[in-house]
Amino acid sequence: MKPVSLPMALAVHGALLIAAVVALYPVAWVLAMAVSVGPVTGVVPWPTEPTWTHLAGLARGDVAAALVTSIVVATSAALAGLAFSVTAAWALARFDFPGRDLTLAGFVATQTFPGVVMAVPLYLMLDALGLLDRLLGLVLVYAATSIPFSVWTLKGWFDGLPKDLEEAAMLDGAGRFRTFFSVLLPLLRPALAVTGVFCFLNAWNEYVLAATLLSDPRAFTLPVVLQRSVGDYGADWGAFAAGSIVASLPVIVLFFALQKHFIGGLTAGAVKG
Amino acid sequence: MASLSIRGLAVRYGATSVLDGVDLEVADGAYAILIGPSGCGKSTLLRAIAGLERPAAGTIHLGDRRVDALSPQARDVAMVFQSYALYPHMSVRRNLGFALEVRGLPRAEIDAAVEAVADQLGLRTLLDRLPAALSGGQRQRVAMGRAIVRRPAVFLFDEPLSNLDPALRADVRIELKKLHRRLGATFVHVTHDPVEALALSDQLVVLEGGRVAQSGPPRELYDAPTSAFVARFIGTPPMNLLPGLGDGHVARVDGWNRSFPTPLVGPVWVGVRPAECTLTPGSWGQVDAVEWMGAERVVTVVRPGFPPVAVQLRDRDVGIVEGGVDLSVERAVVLARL
Ligand SMILES: Nc1ncnc2c1ncn2[C@@H]1O[C@H](COP(=O)(O)OP(=O)(O)O)[C@@H](O)[C@H]1O
Ligand SMILES: [Mg+2]
Repeated sequence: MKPVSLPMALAVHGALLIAAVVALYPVAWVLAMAVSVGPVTGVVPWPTEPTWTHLAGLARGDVAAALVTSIVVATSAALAGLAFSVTAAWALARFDFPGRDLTLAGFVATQTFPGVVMAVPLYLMLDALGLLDRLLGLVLVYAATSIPFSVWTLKGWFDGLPKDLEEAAMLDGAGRFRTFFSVLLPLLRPALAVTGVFCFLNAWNEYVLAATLLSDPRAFTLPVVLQRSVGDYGADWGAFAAGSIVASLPVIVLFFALQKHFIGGLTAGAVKG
Repeated sequence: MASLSIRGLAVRYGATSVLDGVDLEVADGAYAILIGPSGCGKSTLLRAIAGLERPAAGTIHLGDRRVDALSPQARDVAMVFQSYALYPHMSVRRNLGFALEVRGLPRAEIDAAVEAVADQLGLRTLLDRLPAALSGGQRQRVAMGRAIVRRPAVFLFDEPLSNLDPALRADVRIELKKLHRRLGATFVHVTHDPVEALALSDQLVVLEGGRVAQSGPPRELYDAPTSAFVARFIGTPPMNLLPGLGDGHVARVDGWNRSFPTPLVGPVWVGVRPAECTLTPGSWGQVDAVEWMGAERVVTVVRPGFPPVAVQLRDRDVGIVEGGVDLSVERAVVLARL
């Protein structure tokens, strides 16, 4: 690295500092609200009358239950979405069949509609299936809505894997499933991690469909419960802020746990080099 | 162990026909080389034998089994890919043993087979490495080992030496020949390198535009090519093709007093190997260039109305070659000129 002059270093670090402050300012507000008795006022987000009551309050009641619900729903939706997407992506990447291009185009087309458009048809469908207010219904909806994006992403990865590997496995006697599980899936781990996180977040952050499809408070997911805490009967901003922090934790944990997969591919060494 | 018999094989991609009626017989235990210019369908033919391409017409037999409708798994062939196609996430040990693992053999048996092959190929100390941690030559050996472990009836190699540097290539070529002798299996090996083809094969198959142009022992193709295409493709430098005229009994070349027996009438090629010519002072042509190659010299002779003629002089003691020369040939083949 070439040495950087002092004024240059100061300018760069100053700019980075400003960017960090801008990004973290709202987060600081939420943190301050979560440990304050009253509303946080003023320019500097600093707790007024510090208290643990909001955070302690999360342990009992609806927030804790909704947290568990959300984890179950988002994890199941991610696993189901991945299972459907990875197999579909393999087929779309490797086999030429009638309707293949149309399917791919259709997946893009669905992405152009805002999710709200689907709320009413989905409500009617789940109602007909008896899945309203059931977490299974929500899992299916989230898995389905993540499929187009996941299929496109995973298809890109399959397109990048040398076809020789699959052919070598076939010649080694492996059938399609064996090839898929022993050769392809291990190579796609980074892609599965990234896509899985996407599916998880798609479900974890979703509010509109959850609020539409769930009416039983016992089935509420975290975003629904949080929204209600600042909703109908006056805003409890402290509780809302504390809940928001809890809602972000799994995302942060997930990101750090899977971080290494975001970085490197595994295909190095497959072919000559 | 099995012979290979292909009849009327056709492979098409959409409307383009890549293989168009390939007939080929390879004896059990033979080393067959498929050679031809880039894009002539060599890899496609190999892949059709392996079961990776579905033929539009024709039959493929391994021994007395008809295999063209079988899946690759059921054919009992092993293929070494040009890219090697090693499984990047598996150690060398697992790469070598994967086929046996898939067959469900007991762990101890797999280990024994893998270690035996690793010893043969000098891979013993590399068994726990990933392919990414191997050199090109080592990867190539793992790819061969993966095929050997399975003891298939037929080995297919798609340009196995093309990704090696030239020094290593010569070594591995000898390894391949010894391996073939040791295993006694049928080898089908694709290359576009005529030197490799002559050095290794006991059956040489020249493909041209999706068909077999000529097939036979390499010496036969070298000495008696049946077409100008094969004549130019086998041997370096390529055979000289001189325009001549046939009268139904003999062919003559302008300025030569020799004639060559042939039933052909009209324009013909008189084919002369560069190594089968000698030069004497004269007036037929002019020496245009002399290239010294160490053990030999290649002299280019020009004559108006003729393509340049290459002459390979093996004798280091021949004096300076220059000026006007006459060409005398030991042997020539007469080929149709289309
Ligand atoms: N999947 C494919 N789709 C369309 N054309 C192909 C495909 N694979 C190969 N070809 C064409 O078939 C011809 C023969 O290819 P190939 O067998 O790979 O040639 P070679 O190995 O002799 O260089 C080439 O012209 C190539 O462009
Ligand atoms: Mg090829």
